[in-house]
Amino acid sequence: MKRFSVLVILLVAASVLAFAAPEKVLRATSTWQASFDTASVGSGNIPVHSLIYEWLVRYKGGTAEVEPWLAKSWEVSKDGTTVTFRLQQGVQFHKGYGEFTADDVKFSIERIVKEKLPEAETWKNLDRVEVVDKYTVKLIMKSPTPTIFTIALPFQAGQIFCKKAVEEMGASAFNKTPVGTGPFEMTSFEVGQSITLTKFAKYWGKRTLDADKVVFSFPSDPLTALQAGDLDFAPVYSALNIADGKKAAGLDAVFRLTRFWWVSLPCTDPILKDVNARKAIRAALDIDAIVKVAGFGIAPRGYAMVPPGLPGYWKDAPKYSRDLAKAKEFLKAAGYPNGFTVPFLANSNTNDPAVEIIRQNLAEVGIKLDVNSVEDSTYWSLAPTGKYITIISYQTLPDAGYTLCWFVSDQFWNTMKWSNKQFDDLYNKGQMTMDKNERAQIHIKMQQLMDDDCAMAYVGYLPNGVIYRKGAVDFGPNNEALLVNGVVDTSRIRMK
Amino acid sequence: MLKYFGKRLLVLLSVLVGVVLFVSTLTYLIPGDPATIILSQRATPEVRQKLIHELGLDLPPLVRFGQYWWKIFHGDFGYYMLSGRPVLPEVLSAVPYTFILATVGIFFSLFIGMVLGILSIYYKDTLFDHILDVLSATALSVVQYVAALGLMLVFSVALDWFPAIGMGDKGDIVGQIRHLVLPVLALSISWIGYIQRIVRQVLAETLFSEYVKTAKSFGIPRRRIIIRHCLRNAVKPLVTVVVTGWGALLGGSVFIESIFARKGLGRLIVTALTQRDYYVAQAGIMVAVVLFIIAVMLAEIINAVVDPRIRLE
Repeated sequence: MKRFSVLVILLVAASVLAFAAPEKVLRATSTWQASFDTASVGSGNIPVHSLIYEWLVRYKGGTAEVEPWLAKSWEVSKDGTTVTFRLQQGVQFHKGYGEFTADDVKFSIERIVKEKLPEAETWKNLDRVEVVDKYTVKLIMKSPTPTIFTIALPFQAGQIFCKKAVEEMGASAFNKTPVGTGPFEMTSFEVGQSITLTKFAKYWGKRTLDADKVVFSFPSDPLTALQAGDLDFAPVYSALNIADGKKAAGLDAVFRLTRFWWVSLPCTDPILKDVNARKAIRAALDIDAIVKVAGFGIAPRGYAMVPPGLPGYWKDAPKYSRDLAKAKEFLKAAGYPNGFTVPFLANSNTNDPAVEIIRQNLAEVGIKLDVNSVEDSTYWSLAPTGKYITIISYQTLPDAGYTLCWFVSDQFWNTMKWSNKQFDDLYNKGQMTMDKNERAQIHIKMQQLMDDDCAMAYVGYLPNGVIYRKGAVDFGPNNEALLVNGVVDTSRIRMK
Repeated sequence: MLKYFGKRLLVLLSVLVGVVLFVSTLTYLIPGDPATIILSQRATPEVRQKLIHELGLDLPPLVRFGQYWWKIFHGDFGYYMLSGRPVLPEVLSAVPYTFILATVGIFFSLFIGMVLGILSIYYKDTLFDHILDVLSATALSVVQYVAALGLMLVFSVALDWFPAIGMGDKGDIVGQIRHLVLPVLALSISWIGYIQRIVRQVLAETLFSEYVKTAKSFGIPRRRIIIRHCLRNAVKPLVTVVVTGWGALLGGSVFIESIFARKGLGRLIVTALTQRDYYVAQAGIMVAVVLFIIAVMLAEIINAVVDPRIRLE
């Protein structure tokens, strides 16, 4: 009888174990994590950070509109300089660091400015953050700032940290154990190897991602890992990757076309400082061929920097087509009727087929390219020096000012080293103009100035997106898990 | 003998210093600065300059070298550039993973290579021997990362027999073994071919020696002659191959670790170089060189123990 009871107990236990729900694990990849200090690193880390940190407001469903999040409501003062936020109550930080309050908002935003972190540029118009009471906080700007709700609060510069955690741990330890209010908390981090996050039991909000654990790894070939079933999704930032993902059996891809793509023409080069030399290059390029070959059927041609759909889109931008006769006229006007030689910078990690097309196009009018093909890290160090022609793309956000800010005078990432005082003045004016239509006109005028000066040859728009295993994940209605710039907010993914 | 090993150690230590100096120089010569690579696009020139100053990258190269070696002699191997985490614990934590991969790889290669070498000499000049000859030459020519990609496509993607990436969960021994199979195979293919050919050659040479003829004349079975009498002569070259090969794999497993997304020393060094994280790269290279030196010393000790002729020399 005793033996029989033991047998029954064992059988019941085995059944319970067999039918116990297995852990739901979402497996993904991301860009290499240099730091968990979100205000110091590039937006490629958002797939991980979006699980740990949250915002006062967040982008709504893949659009440029924002919705309340950690702030449940807000009011803007009549003069447009002060925004008063009322915060959600009872929101807990990870690892027992207590409740989220107005002090954390003040700390998170002011430290960016005080410590001159990379995102300080986003908050350069901030005067101060004032705590009214435990759940009320004011953002006081020096002047009306239209970018607060477009790029500051809902993006990297607006993620909320735990003041107590950062002050207690110190910056170095905080990089190993980030603390936020998000639906997942980090439980392990092996440098360059994996990041594991587990469900935060005390999460305040409604979960979209129904997983027990999320594991990020960093394979050199995410596509093969997806096909082998070892990953569920992989963020990608190239047209080739998206095209490969769409063709691969069992995989698919979603994306947004939010990276503007152009040929950078260095304006301080001894030869190219003459606008006629730059116009000769623009006239000689076969942009349609570049888009066809290097866009891989994903990227469309574009004629202006700000993508369609955004305020500031220049729909009447001139549509240049290849004209070799005109190119030769410009060469003659520049004093180089037989052409010239200029250095070109190529990124060997991307093996961009556009480089060969550009080289051949320009050779037909006598312009020879001295091609320097370098690895990725070296490329991104040399590109901003303004010494090379290069084909390059930058991401944009739902604010044309963000798209255009890279080309003000003395901006480090102004790869052409182009300088135009009127452009700079318009940019500064646009950053303080609250009226959307007026602001859009300012941004169109800025693009016209760049076009007149032929600082670049526009090519098109490249994608940011995700390759995923069919049947593994869903990105929601209107692919809402993809932010407006195509970077994935992992917390909004649905597991199938 | 102690004097001999003492001299060898001095030579190898000077190799260590020379290699690290040389690699440090090369590292600093690579274009690009870590500040531009690590910081986001939004970083202003002031922010960039601040980080460059904090990292000491605005100091003259000789001053940087001097400071670096001064800190090494005081046990300070530096910090990760952006996160501030100390480098040495992270580098040393990667070593066991590479150690496991290299050890399992080389001993798997040794076992299979020896078996195939013995079989090929046992069936000398038969069709089987010729087939093995072609296969081993082919295996020897296979580049590890090509083998890795091929194995992944066949066994992970097409057949779904083994996982493609990762190392398995902690505590899951079966899972960790499954994650080790393809990386070990990829590492081993060329070594199997190499070891098979060494064993076959040594056995072929000793089969014609006088003492083997004597053993044959006593009627000792061929299989026993090969294994008990001839194989011992293969130990010395095999020890050298295996131990130095193991040392080389400790630092040279970068392709396998990168393709299979396994934690390890090789991958850590390459990632650090890509990110211009100089302290991590230098510490990783130093550890890899030290391990290689230990492997070389070990090979010499084992050979001296196994082959009395070396001791007498």
